[in-house]
Amino acid sequence: MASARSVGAETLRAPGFRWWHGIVIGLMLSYVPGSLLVAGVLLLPMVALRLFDPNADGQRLMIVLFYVGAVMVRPLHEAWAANGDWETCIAQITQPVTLALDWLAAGAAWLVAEASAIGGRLWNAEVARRERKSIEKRIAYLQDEWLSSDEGVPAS
Amino acid sequence: MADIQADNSQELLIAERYLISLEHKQPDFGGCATYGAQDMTASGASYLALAPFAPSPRLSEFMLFRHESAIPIQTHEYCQGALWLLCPHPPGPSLAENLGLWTESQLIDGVIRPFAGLLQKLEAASLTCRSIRPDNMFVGQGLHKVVLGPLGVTAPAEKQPVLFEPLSSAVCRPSARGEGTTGCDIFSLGVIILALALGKLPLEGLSDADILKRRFEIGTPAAYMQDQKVPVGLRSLLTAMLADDPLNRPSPRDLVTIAPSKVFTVRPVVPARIPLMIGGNAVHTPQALAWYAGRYPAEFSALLQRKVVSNWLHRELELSVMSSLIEQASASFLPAGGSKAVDPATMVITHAISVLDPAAPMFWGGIWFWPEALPQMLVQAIVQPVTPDDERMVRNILSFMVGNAEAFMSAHLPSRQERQITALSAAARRMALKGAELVRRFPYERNSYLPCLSKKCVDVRISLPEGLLRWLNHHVGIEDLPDDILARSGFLDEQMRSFLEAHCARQGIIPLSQSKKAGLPGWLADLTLLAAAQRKFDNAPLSFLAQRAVPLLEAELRQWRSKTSRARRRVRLGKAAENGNLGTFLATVNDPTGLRLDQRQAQEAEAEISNLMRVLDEAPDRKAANDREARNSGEFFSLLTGIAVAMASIWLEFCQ
Repeated sequence: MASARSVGAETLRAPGFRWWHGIVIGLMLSYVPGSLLVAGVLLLPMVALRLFDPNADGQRLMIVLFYVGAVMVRPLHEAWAANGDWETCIAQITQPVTLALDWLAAGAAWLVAEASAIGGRLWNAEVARRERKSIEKRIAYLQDEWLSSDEGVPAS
Repeated sequence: MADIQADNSQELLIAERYLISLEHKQPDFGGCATYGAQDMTASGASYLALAPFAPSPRLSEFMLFRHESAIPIQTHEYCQGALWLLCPHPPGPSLAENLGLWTESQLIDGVIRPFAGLLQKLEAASLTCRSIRPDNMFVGQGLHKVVLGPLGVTAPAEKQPVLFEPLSSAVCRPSARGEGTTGCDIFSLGVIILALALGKLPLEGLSDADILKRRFEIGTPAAYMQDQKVPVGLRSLLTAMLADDPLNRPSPRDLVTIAPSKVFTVRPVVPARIPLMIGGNAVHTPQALAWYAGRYPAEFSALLQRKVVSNWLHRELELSVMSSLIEQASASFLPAGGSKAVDPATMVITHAISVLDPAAPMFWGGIWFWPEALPQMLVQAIVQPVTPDDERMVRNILSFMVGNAEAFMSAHLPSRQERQITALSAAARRMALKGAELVRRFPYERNSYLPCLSKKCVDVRISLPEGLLRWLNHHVGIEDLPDDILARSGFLDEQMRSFLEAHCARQGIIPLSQSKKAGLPGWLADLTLLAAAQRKFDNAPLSFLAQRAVPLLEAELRQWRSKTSRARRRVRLGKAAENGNLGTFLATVNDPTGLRLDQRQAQEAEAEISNLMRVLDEAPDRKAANDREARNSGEFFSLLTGIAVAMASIWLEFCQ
């Protein structure tokens, strides 16, 4: 988790692209421009999230990437199967179901992340409350046991 | 020693054998309250049961003593702590009822020889009987043989009439006479012989003071035998036996071998021709002067200072040694040297008297006494004070004497007095006590048969510690011992405390009074003492006593910090009280190890409480960190689900 956090801090500073990212994208652009288009279009929700959610750090993006990746599997497979045929790629990215699924996946990822964070917070609060209660109980017991007198206790 | 109360309280079964009927009180026997008793075993023999109060300290020796002329003590038993002595019936009526007129040979065979044998045997055991008097001598029907009542059942010479006592103890009050010597017994025997020979008591009808006065005026033999028809054969014997100087009296050995008309020679006492006048009385002998000196100390000291006494001794009696000693004694009449512990005037009189009559008892503080009798005098003063001030006076004398023995030593008293004072101060040193406590303990220490002298239980004559414990157990109710008195002065009074402590000390338990000095409350010190006594002497449960102490000890439980251990110990206290073992009862509360453990745990608990408080206080500070952690773990979870969804999608795409 520590590493995930440090990655997040890095991506916040800069988009995090290295020189070889450019080479890879350049190579793909020249050989499989269709597939890259499909990937680029389908990765748009992430860009949108990055732009509109100030809380979205690298970790959050990573989560979204996995959800979006799950939607991307089929179109990319199709594109791959069609050997990067431009028509097929266009058909893929114009298919409304795929696009809707893509955006929904991004939204779901965001939702799941937020919900589980809130859930974790609630869980922690519950644990803390329980702990506090047991400590208070222990204090009350100790005070009763060691700091009380027998006034008013009837003689046996 | 089973004490079983018979069905009605008028009968007492002791040792599961002797049935004492308290209804049938017999005339006093040997000076003790006496009841009829029956042996319940097959023999069915009848006995007399004696209830002695403060018998001789040497009763155990007397109980083993057997002689045909003394009624033996058959057995002794304790019933509820009270001593009972069982004796056979005397052979006949006592001489007090009918003296009779005895001939010389009857006297020699029936009285003198047997009694001389008795005294000889007693002397060999270094005992004295000091109970030769008509009401303690019994004669069989038609016989001319006398037997003496049981020995040692009263304090020495306590019941002796003045008539039967030599001057050396007749001047003392009965309790102050001490054990005396065999010479004293010889004197008493002489008086009895005289009375039997005359058929009546000499000097009958005179008061004690008159008898004494007369004896001092003309000497006891003359006073008793003047104008009486004493058989000629006995005259020299009686003159010797009744001699005022103990050295002139025959020894028992002389009497055992007595034959009719045996002649005894006595150095005659030469009285002064010109008497010395003191307090309006004419005095002819140094002994008489010593006695009158005690009666008129002021006049006597005036005579001493004017050297009248020494001149009179020198010129009239030609006693030059005594005269010079008196001179020396009166020389110490110096102007009082400021803060001297010993009042010089009194010491001078004591000294002068001992010079005038070396056989006389001690004169100190205005009374005549033998130092060894001081414990018995204290008993007497506590039980039956002659004057209201009696007890205080005897206490003062006793505490002064044991505290300042060297002052008496330097006064060159006669050796018998010096020996007794030395013995007293040695006993005091052994007790290692001080002040009032020492004085109170003295009688118990000297006489193991002495009953507890507490006002509450003196009537039941408890002379065993276990008896006292049981008595206490039944007399600790709220009506006998109100709460405020219990809280203030404890379960015991001072006499009971001294009694138990003396008995414990005899058993080798180190003085428990230390516990009181250690600052314990009185009742707790008492309980400690009672517990020690119970452990040592008696295992019978003392549950009433313990139950009475429960509320007090429960208050002590406050020392325990732990509530549960208080409750547990309270329950244990209740149980121990029911069982009546004071040792475990006290140990429940008096448990230093447990208390230390409890206190350590209490400190730990306090530390824990403050720790937990701090934890509670710090809770808000940790909230931010917690939230961040929650977000991280939430995102981690989301990441995992994301990975799972991606894998599922890949699987659907490629493997379906």
